[in-house]
Amino acid sequence: MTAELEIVHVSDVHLADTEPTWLQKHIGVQRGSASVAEALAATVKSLVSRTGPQTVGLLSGDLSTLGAAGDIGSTRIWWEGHAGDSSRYVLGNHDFWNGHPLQTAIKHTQVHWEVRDAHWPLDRITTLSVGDMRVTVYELDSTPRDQITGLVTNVLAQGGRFEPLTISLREAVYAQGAWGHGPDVGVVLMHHPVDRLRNGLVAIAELDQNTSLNLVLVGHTHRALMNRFGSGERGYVQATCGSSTIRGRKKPNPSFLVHALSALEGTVRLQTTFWEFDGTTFAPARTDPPIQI
Amino acid sequence: MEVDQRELLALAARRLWDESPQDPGLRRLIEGAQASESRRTPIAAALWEWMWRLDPGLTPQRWAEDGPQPPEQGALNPFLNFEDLSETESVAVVAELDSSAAALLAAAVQAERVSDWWATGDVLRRYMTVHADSERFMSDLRSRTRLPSTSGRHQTLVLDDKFLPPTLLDDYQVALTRLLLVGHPATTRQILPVLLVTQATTDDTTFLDQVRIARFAIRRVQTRSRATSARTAARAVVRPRPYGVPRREPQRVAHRTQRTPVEAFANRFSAAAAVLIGAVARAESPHEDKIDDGQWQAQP
Repeated sequence: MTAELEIVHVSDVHLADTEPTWLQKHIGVQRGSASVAEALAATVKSLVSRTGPQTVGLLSGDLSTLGAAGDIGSTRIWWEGHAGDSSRYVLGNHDFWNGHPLQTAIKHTQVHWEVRDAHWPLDRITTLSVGDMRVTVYELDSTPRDQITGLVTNVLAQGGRFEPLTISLREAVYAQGAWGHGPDVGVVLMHHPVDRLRNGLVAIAELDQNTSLNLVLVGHTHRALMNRFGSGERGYVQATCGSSTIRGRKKPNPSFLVHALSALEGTVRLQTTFWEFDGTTFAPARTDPPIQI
Repeated sequence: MEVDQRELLALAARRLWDESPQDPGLRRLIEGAQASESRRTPIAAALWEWMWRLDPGLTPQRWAEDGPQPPEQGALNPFLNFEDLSETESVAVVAELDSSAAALLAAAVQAERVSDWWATGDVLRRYMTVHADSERFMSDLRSRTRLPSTSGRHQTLVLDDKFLPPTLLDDYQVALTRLLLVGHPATTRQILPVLLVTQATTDDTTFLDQVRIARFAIRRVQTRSRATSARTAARAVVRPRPYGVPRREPQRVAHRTQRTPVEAFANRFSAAAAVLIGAVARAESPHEDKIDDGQWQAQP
């Protein structure tokens, strides 16, 4: 099977330029390892620049530890410098704390939009034409931000409400229009797994009803996991990437995923390889059997 | 303070007048409520919900002084009429004016549909059960849908069952958020430790989520009760224990966390200090809050 498109899927790098404060050290804010980040950068760069299938890098959120503007900025430069111009990223819940969780806790709606203005374009959609296959990457913001006016409906929600996400996704898919030349693959890139959004069951069902969607790339949990959600014959695959830079006792090794998409007789197959940090470098640790998506 | 429709409209109009720029959604709500002849309309109910977020003083006196009350003692939102209310239609009517207001009304209905939602202790006990059931359900779902072992087979979900644990959990979370919004100090102190413990048993960013919940709850209670509520929150962060489990003899922190005693102490102290300092600091300077910065109103 010849891969037509490879997606290097990295997540939760939690990088920071600045030294952690006394408080950050002691409340256990997780922080990516600089040496692992270096090895990750080298591996990602070699993957996206090698000859062979077209390769794109996608980073599914949590670029920083506590969302300090400088940390997000330098991680963006780091990521785009190594994964190339075609690479994309979304922000995660850690990136919306503006470096000051205590102050931001009360003004998180306002801060959320300020961070988005500064670091993440709204409604970014990336379309890749690979042979006769079209792959569209929809970026969704899954971090809770309540209403734009800060009128809280549920302070306990961990992931965002899914309804606004569904609406924006539906509008984006509609705007894309039909593709008549071959397989049309819809990829959603967001930070929270669908099942960890507020009222995740509804979210799972909503996404299943969107027939243009095949693959959901997420992070957040720091544990790699592949799921197939949905009812009937179709459904969609959710690939959760573990943290790509965080090391520690009782934590999984840093890892990332490489998803190979190939068109075969009008259908699309997905084969995922799990890359793991072995102490000095990243290497392929396991390749799942190909599945139709 | 209980308000009638005329007072509510006057308060809202004054708020709108003071705002710069004016919120078009609030303006449409006011105009919608003014146009309606009946008092207990969905628009008036949504307007009350909106204004209540901005002004905790709208909490009925009995609720503010004695905590949440059963319906026969008076509703929290005097404009929310469950007898005449068609939930879907009501929310749809408000949604035509403003989606944020519709979300507030939908949340109010969702919360008050939880049976005996005002009985804080009972709701907390049921919440803990539903939380545990929901965690188990979702964990089972993740394992059953896991690839590659299930490749080729699709998980069929019974998603139309509104009594599934995760769906119920959302109802309880909205109800508890509503109880925190009441801002009754004793109720807040009862709820807060349970929520913080619950957060600690779920996935990452626990501390940040704990801070968010604690800040939200503490800012809603009256200024004179904030220090006590902050202390309750800090205690829950430092010494988390499941709801309903009696206090045990103190045990060494290092034993529980696998950290050295010094690290464990620093961890506990800093978390407690963070919650306390943050809460008290904000309590001391309420005038810094602006209406467009969040849901809090500057105290006159």
